Amino acid sequence: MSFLALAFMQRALLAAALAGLASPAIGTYIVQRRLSLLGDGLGHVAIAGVGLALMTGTAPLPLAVIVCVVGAVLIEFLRQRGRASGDIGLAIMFYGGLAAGVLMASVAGQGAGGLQAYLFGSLVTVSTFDLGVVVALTGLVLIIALGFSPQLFAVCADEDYATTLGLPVRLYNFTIVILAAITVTTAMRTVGLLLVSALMVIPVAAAQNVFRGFFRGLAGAMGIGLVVAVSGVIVSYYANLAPGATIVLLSITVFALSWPVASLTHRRRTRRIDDPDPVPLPHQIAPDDHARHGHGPGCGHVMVEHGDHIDYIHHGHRHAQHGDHYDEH
Amino acid sequence: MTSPGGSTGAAAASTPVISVRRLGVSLGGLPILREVDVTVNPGQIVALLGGNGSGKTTLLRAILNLIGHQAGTIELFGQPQAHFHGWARIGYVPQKATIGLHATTLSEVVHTGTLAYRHGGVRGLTTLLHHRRNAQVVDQALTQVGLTAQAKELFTHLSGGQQQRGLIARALAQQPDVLVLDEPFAGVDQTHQHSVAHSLATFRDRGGAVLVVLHETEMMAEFIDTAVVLREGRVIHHGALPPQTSHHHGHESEPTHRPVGLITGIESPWPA
Repeated sequence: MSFLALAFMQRALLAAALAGLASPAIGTYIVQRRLSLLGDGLGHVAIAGVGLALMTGTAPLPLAVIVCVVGAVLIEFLRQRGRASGDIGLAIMFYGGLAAGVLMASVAGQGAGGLQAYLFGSLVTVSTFDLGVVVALTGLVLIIALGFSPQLFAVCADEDYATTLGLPVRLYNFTIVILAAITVTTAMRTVGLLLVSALMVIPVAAAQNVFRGFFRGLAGAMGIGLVVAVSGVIVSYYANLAPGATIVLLSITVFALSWPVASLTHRRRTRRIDDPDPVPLPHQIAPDDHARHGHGPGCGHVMVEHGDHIDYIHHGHRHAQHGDHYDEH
Repeated sequence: MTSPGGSTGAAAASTPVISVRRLGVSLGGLPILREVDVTVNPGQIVALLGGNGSGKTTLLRAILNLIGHQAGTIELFGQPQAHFHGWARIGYVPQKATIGLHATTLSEVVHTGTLAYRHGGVRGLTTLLHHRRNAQVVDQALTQVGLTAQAKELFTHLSGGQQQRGLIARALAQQPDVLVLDEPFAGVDQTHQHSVAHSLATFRDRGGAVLVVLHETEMMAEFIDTAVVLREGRVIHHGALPPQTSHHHGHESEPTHRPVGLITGIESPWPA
């Protein structure tokens, strides 16, 4: 545990742990809203903030947070307007952010190389000031994402219904994208802006394979995120790897491991849920054209398994033998 | 057992739950509803009938303020819609096909209904502090629709009928005075339609009001107090269902099936 004695590793581990907790927490809502790639887009927007900071010689983190939050509000505004051009608008914003970031970095004399630490994460770059900002902002994200979880869940699950409850749906929608923007940006030192989106989505997908229900999935995703982020930093320190890439590949490994677990629990689950219909189907006798034709294997009609018997597709109906006649099923 | 707050009986004397007068709604410049009048009283099941594109769902969404209206008035519990704040009293049950509730248990879905009421004026963080009381309400709502055993199942693993009853339970968890449903039988097999219909009848019998959009009156016919038939955005009938399909016909009697084509036919089958 010699790495714990290094001050930069202490800062990197704490920052990674916070990113590992916050990214899947907000990611659970984003996945529920089927906006899995939102984090990726926000990462691109934040690059413009980093470029601006490099060009003006200010601290990158606060400026990137501000630019990314502004971008997030614009994105949500476009989405709520529901215009057909919203999709194009998003694309322009994402690639505009990336291009502007690279351009401003090259004006600052650093080129795209100067951005690399922000794109893929770098352990040695987490300053004490950065850590302070990360702790404060991630704390805020976690308090809101967990404290308002019933409301945020209601809005993500069924927006219309949440509206009829009288919930301030627009406010909550803006809250989610702003929290996502803050999370993406605060994770840029450890996971990197291009990879943080993976930490918002993959632990969530893995947790939803294993844990049943939204809130268990939320807790499980945060647990997985914490483990892969911290272990990713440690592995990358010893193996001299890029921390962001290590963290992401670790979470993909966890996701792959979640499949067999999921299929096991699913099999148990489906057997239990298979309750029979409370009311029996009406007993409807098929027209009596079966005197000339008894259904059986090889009669030429398509056979369909139906519970404990075989139905035969006959002129668009499903016929099943019942004593001396055939029933419509 | 939760019972709706509306008064039982004496429906005519009390304030209408929903009162729509000369409503006009246009979507994208196209007139969808014109001069629509609908009244829903406490203890009443009002069916909204009509063919595809007749404006049934638009009327529902306008009442719920999910879309705006250009003409006429909507009053909820005697208050103009714009000044109405008691949204918890209106339990909305959307078409189940329109919702994507993946990775979510039935219990969690029903729990969102409890967000409707404020605890001492504050919602926010205090919802978590009232978890035990909310859990009781959710349990009652699930009991009312007969889904207690499925509470911990994933919503997407339930059958169509169970999902529909789950959405009704979510609305019941609001402890509402009126249920507003959009085609609750769509995609629900016949055997489960009975249980959905009975859930609504039970709610009505406890004094609640129901406004339900139906594609056909089958299954509900014996429970419907008032039928409102829309055609091309106008009300062409507002009153009882015709005798052969309205009251006092059990399951064993002649079929109550009434296809939409007949309802919306040029020669109206309705009594003058």
